[in-house]
This record gives sequence, C-alpha cells and structure tokens, in this order.
Amino acid sequence: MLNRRHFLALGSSGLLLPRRLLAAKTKSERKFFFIYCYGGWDTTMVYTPEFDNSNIDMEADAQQTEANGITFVTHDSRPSVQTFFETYGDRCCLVNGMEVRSVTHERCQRLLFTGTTDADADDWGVLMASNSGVVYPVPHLVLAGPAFSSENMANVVRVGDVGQLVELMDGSALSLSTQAFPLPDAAAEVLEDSFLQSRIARFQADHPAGSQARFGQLYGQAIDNLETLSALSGDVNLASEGTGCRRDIAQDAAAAFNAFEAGLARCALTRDDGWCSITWDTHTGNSYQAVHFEELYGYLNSLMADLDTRTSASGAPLKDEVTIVVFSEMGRHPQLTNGGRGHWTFTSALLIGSGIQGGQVIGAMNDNFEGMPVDLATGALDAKGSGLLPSHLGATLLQLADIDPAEFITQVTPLTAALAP
Amino acid sequence: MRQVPLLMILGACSGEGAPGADSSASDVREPLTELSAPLLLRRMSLDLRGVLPSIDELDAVEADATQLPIIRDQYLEDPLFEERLVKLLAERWHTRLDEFEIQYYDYQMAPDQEFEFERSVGEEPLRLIAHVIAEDLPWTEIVTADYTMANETLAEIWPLDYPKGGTGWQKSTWQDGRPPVGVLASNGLWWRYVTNISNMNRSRVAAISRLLLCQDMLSRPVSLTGAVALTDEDATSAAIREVPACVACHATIEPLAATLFGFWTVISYNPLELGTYHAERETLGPRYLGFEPAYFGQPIEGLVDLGVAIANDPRFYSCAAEQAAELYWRRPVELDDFARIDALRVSFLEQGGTYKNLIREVTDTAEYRVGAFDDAATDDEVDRELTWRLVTPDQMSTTLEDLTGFIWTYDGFEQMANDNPGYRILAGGVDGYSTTRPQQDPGVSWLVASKRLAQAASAYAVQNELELSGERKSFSVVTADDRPGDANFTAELERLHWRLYAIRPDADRLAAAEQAWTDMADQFGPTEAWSRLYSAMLRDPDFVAY
Repeated sequence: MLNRRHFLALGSSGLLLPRRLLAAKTKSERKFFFIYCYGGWDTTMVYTPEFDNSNIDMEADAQQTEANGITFVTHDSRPSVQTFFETYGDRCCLVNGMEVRSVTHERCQRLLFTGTTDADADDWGVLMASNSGVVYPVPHLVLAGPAFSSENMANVVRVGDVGQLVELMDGSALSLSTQAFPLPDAAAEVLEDSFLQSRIARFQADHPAGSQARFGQLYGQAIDNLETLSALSGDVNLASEGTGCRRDIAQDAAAAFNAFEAGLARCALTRDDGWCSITWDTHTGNSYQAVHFEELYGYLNSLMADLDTRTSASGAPLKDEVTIVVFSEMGRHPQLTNGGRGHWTFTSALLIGSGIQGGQVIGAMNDNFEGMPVDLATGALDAKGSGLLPSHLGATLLQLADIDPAEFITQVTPLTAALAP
Repeated sequence: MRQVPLLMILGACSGEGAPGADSSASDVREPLTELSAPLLLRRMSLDLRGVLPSIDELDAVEADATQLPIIRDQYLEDPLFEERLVKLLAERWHTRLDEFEIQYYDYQMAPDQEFEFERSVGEEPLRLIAHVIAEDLPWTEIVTADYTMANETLAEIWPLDYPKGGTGWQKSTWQDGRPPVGVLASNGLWWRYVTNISNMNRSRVAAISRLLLCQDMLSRPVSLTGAVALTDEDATSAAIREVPACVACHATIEPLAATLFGFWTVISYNPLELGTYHAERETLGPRYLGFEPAYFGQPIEGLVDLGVAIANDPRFYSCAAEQAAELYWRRPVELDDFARIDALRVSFLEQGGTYKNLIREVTDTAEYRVGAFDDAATDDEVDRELTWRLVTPDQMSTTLEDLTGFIWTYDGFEQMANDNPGYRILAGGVDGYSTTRPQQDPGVSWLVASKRLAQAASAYAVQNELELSGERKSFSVVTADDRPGDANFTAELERLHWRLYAIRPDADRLAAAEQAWTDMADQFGPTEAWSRLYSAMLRDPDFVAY
C-alpha cells in the first residue's frame, strides 16, 4: 500500500493499484504473528534468572535451567515453559533488558509497538503489512489488541474483541439491534453491491486526482478485499470462541496461520490477557504470573505444533515463512511489595521461527535489574554497546521483512545478532 | 515554510477537475481550490452539527454563496452543535472509554445501564467544555468554572447538586469542596487519566500539559538507565531533585502534581474514593513530594490557583488554536502550519477568546475549505491536505438518525459508539486508548460496519415511511406505487441526491439509479427495491465522505 503522495503521483499518471491480488504461488515473503501480553509480565518468572542477585526477589522453589541454548527459570507450576524450550528453544531468540522508557501502560504500549510516542506513527505490523511486496486483501489482521496507525489504517482489518467482524460479515449484526431487521436476500444484496460498485467506478472516473482519487481507489479495493475474505472466511475462521473467560491464543494463532496459508494476510496480532483475562498487571497477587505463563506456554506449544503441520501458499512449509513475536509492554519490579510487583521499564521479548538465529539469549540485567548494553552485531554484552530499545526490535523485524529500517526508524541499527545468517 | 496571510482574499480558482469553485470564501489560497458552496455547506453541517444540511439551506447557498457564513452562524446556535462538540472533543480528550476503574455494578446498576454509565462518566468534562463553547463563554471558563455538567446518572452516584426536576445534562455544582477549576475538577477527566499511590498524580500532570498546553511531556526522550538505581526508592526520590536528566522534567512535574492531591486516592477501585474530592489530602502533596505547589516555577496555593494559572498561560490559547485546527482540518498540524496557527491564536485573543469565533476562523481557512488542487500545488500540500474526509461513526450515526429516525442500539448500547459489543473502531472511530485518531481511508472493517448500518437505516426508513405510511423523514413524494419515469419517482431521486450528496445529479446518474431500482423491483418488489437502492445510496462515496 502506498502513502498518499506516492499514490497521488501514480493516480495522475493513470496507473492504479491492481484491484485484487492474492499472494502468488511463485512469490512468498515472511509473515509475522504477534502475541501481545497486556499488562507487563514478570520476567523473573521465566526470562531473567537472577538467583545470585540479592536485589531481586526470585520466586521460591524456582531454579535456573537451560534447554537448547536458552537459559530460563523453571518451576513446578509451569511445566509448559520447560516443555516449550526443550522442544522449540533452538528456534527461539530471547531478548532481555529492553528498555521501554516509560512505566505507564498506555505509553509503554505505544512505545513497544511503534518505538515512539508519536501519535501518528505506524506500528511494526502495520508498517510491514503496508510496505509489502505483495498485495494482501487483509494486510494486517488484528484478532485482538491495539493497532497504531494514521495513514495506513485501511490496511488494518480488525476482528473486534468479541468477533464483531464475523457478525457484520454474515449479517447477524442486523439482528443484534433493538429494532432488528432480517438479513437482505442474498440476490438482492448482490444487486445493491453491484450498483454501489458502479457508483464507485463512476466516482473514480470523475475524480482522477487528489484525496478523492485515493478514496475511490481504496473504496473499490476494500470491496474486493472483503469479497476475498468472505469467500475464504470458512477457511480462516475468525470467530473466537475462547475458553470461557479468556481468549484461546492457539485458536487465534490458527486463524492467523489460516490467513497466512491462504495468502490473505502478512501480519496478525492477538492480545493475551492472561488467566481469566485478569491481565498481566499483577500489582498484587504475583502468583498469578505463574498461571499466566503456564497458560501462555501451553498455547505456544500448541501453536508451534500446529504451525509445523502447515504449508504456505508458495508450497513451502509455513514454519519457514512465519516469525512469531511474543512481548509485553513492560516488565515488573524486581522487588515484591504486598505480594505483587509494580511496573518496571525493562522487559523481554521472545522471537521465534523464520529468520531467527535460535538457541540464544541476547541481553542481560545488571545488579540493579536494568538492561545492559549489547553489541548489536554479535549479541555480546558490551559496555560500549547499545542499550536495547523497542526501536531496535522494530528495526530487526523490518529487516526480517525485507524493508529498510532506515526508511522508518532514524538512527537505530537492527539487532542483527538475532537474525539467522 | 510557506507564509500565508490569514484573511487574504484571492478569489475562487477553478482548476481542471475541481468540484466547482463558485463560492466567495474569504480565505481561498491558490493553489488549493475550494469546494463548491453546497459541498462546503455539507462539510460544515457535518462538522458542526453531525447532520446534513436541509434542502432549503442547500438551495440558499447554491443561489447565493454569501449565505454560507449566515447559515454557519445558525449552525453555531443549533443545539446539535453542542452535541457534536462532545463527540468531536472526545477525539482529543479521549475520555469516552468503555471501561473505567469503577464499573456500573459498583453502583448497583443493571447491565443495561452500563453504556449510559460509561458515557455519562466519560462525557462529563466534554460536556463542560462544549457548554462553554456553545454558550459563547470565555475559553478560560473551561479551567475556572465553579460548576460541572451532569445528568441524572451522575447525580445519582456523585456528590452533585443537580437541579431539582431537571433532565439531561445540566449545570451542577460539586458538594465536596473541590475548587472552581472547571474540567480540572471533573471526575470524568481523572477517571480517564488515573494515578496510583506511587505515581502521585505525575501522569495527570502530563495529561494536563498535553491537553491544555499542547506540551507532551512524555514525548521527551529520557533514558532511565544509569541515572540512578531504580530499585532504590530513596535514590530515585533524590534523583528527581539532583540528577539533571530527571530534574529537567520533574522540576515542573512535581510542583504541579502537588496541586492534585485532592484527587489522589489511597484505595484503588473504590467508588467512594474515586468519586469524591478529598480536600483533607491537599496538604499531602508538598509533604510526600517535597515540592510546594507551583506552575512552571511560579508559586501557587494549589489546585484553587491552577485554573487561573493555566488561563493566563499564552500556551493555553495557542493550544486551543492548534486543537481547533486539527479537529476541523481532520489532520495533525505540522511545522508548516505554524504561521496559520499563530494567526488563529492572535485572532482568537483579539476577538475575545470565545471558541465560536475560533471555529469561524478555522472554517474560513483554505485548509478547511479545500476541495481540490491545481497544478501549482506542491507535493507537501497535496500530501498534507485532505480534500475528501471519511465520515466518522459518530457523524454517520447522527446523520442517519436525522435522515431516517434510526439509531442502532442493542442492550442499551449505541453500537456505533462503543467497542464491546459495538463497532466503533471497526467503523473507523476512536476508542480513546489504543486508537486515538479517526480512520481516514476506507478499509475492510469500515466497509462492512458501514454497510450494515446503511442497510439497517434504509430498512427502517422504507418500512416506516413507504410500508407503514409513517412520518416522512427520508422520502418526500414517492410512494411504493411510483415507478421510474413517474414525476414523483424522478423528483424523489433528484431530491435524495441533493439532500444526501449536495449534488444535482445528471441524467446519466439518475438513469443508473432508476435502472438499479428497476432491476431490484423486478425480482423483489418495489419496497425491497427502495431498501436496497437507498442502502446503496447511503454507502455511496459521495455520502460516506465529505
């Protein structure tokens, strides 16, 4: 998808975007699935074993262990974590000590997703979806969670936290009304849509330049994209049934993978609110973090097993094309207070799969539980290196997406140590 | 940076492809071509009232473009103007959340009161600001008013002296000793911009600074690494006073935070704690923070002086000008806009500091009235200015209610005004938390949400007006017995195009609509044909944008 200036230049020259194009079987590109753990996870429970640091209140009966090159914290309450790293650790790069530079949820969320506090910045998923070499009907599929954009919001297809997109698409939304109406007859709706499309075509012809031209083109494209999504909706299965009081992250992953397989989307996002959706923001009751992590890693085990069975639109194993990012907008304070932990500006991120140099941990915490600088090229701790920021994560993802990070992030080098050669 | 005089009259310029620049706007700047008078009136009506202009109003400006400012002034006196302001201001103030720390059930309300509760809370500060604007009161009153705006719902749950026998939103006074500082004393604002025991109102200072002074403190780059051991509470407290990187912001933040301790709560998620002002805690600010109240270095008594201090800050007025420009230009302001924004600020002050005058000035700007570009337009201008703007879900909802009488509600929720179970951000709206700008371009989610809304509104109109012979709102002369070629049928289509789009349809356009109707009627009958045709018209590119 082009920005406004590029679009208008093409419009005035008579060139228009193709109306409908699925991912060609001969061309494929990397896809990205984001799992956003909302509220701030306690990295000491899995990612940052600090048993030798008296400043850090580590969990009783937890211990440090290692699997496939990943050093992590294990505990009897979280067997799924151990299982995950024993099975998939060689495909994972754990990044520790990323400084978000805020401790408020709202601000940290934006910083994590965009690398900046600029209200108009696109997030990583939107950027990659909007600057793809392939035109997708549903460039960035947001199953749940935030999507930050200003100029590229048309590339974001939101399903809605309770699956509202599905009821709108199938028309059942019309019965969810105080004054309910039946769904129009399908053939009648075809006539309505057909007339609308003729009107859009006329609008495009009447407005060859300016915002109106862009509007007309994008309107027509949205109709085509909706048709494609509708035709494939049974395969993608956007309806989230959840598991009672929380989202089923493995089910969301399946929907995302379905969309990737069908060539519908490049990026997808879901939000994990933890056990019974109480969120990861455990100011009291830090023990809930254990439950959250156990459930999260249970889902991760399931979705990885699912991913490994799939084939992409190009014919290659889908696992070779999908990078999974698991992150949270902040960490939690190293010291317990009233049974919980406050916000902490340093967090971790887990990168899995395609393009990732697995079996490694990059970054570490110092005695004050602050992230230590690293050499971005080697991943080694280096006092003269760079303190890790969300913009480093973003630059790394953009590079994985074959997009020049410098076009969107200034003065930040990707964490190339995380990337497979 | 392009320097543009505010009220330069250059005359209309009709470039190729322009929609028809036949108006006499007071501020047309080449190479931005102004919309035609009817289309400009349509834009103003949607922006100022959230509904379409009437047929009579369109006829008037089509005949005489000098009627535009006269009708605009009428719009500024319309009750719909104040209602529209509430929704427009929400795009900036972000208080219309679907969830607060206190929920409806904390007040023993029923589930079907949830939406009413959420909107009442979130709209309280917006209603105050809208009231000040609509009543032509000085802009300073938003931070100095000794009242708030409340409805019956808020009167039930908060310590308010709501007018006896009153209904709807009324001026009300707090009964818990909070000082007269307008929105700074509103629960709705502080329930949105929360704090906690350790934060001690610092995040609220950032909110005040962003919303009222357009100074976003949280956008300042700051690295916490190495400045101080963050695990050492005493060290971090000392750093705020001693470490230059921390002092740079906290020298301002702490004294301002010290003024807000009447709203500082010690028990989270407690209705009494959050609903009541705690005057007895006002002195805790200096004690806990170690800073006396001050406004950017100037000592003040506390919250009681904060409103006046803000009202005397020049940034308060430049921020008002900037925000008005953003809200009505429908885009962020940029560095190149500086001259224009400053001219708006000067004019705002010279004309008495009333927001209506500011709206008049902004809607006179070329950036507001632009409909097209000619060849002299720079790439920057083409990229920056929106000549066609997507209608927001709020505007769509109020417009369709005005046109048809239909409003989409479900279980007490307005479906275009919430995100669970509704469709607000799917339809391109702002939720105030993670989506903070309205959508500008059509997308799949928007398409399907607007489609179902149009279908529902159309079905409602056809059922009531053509099938049940109810009050005519959408349709004028046509009946279910009329057919293409009948005078009433043609007249109705012409009228609908004019009403919905501010466009006189040519013969081709009319013929296409008639043929579509005929195709539908042949298979499904005349009333279903009208339902489908009208729905398509409510999804037309000329309707869903302006």
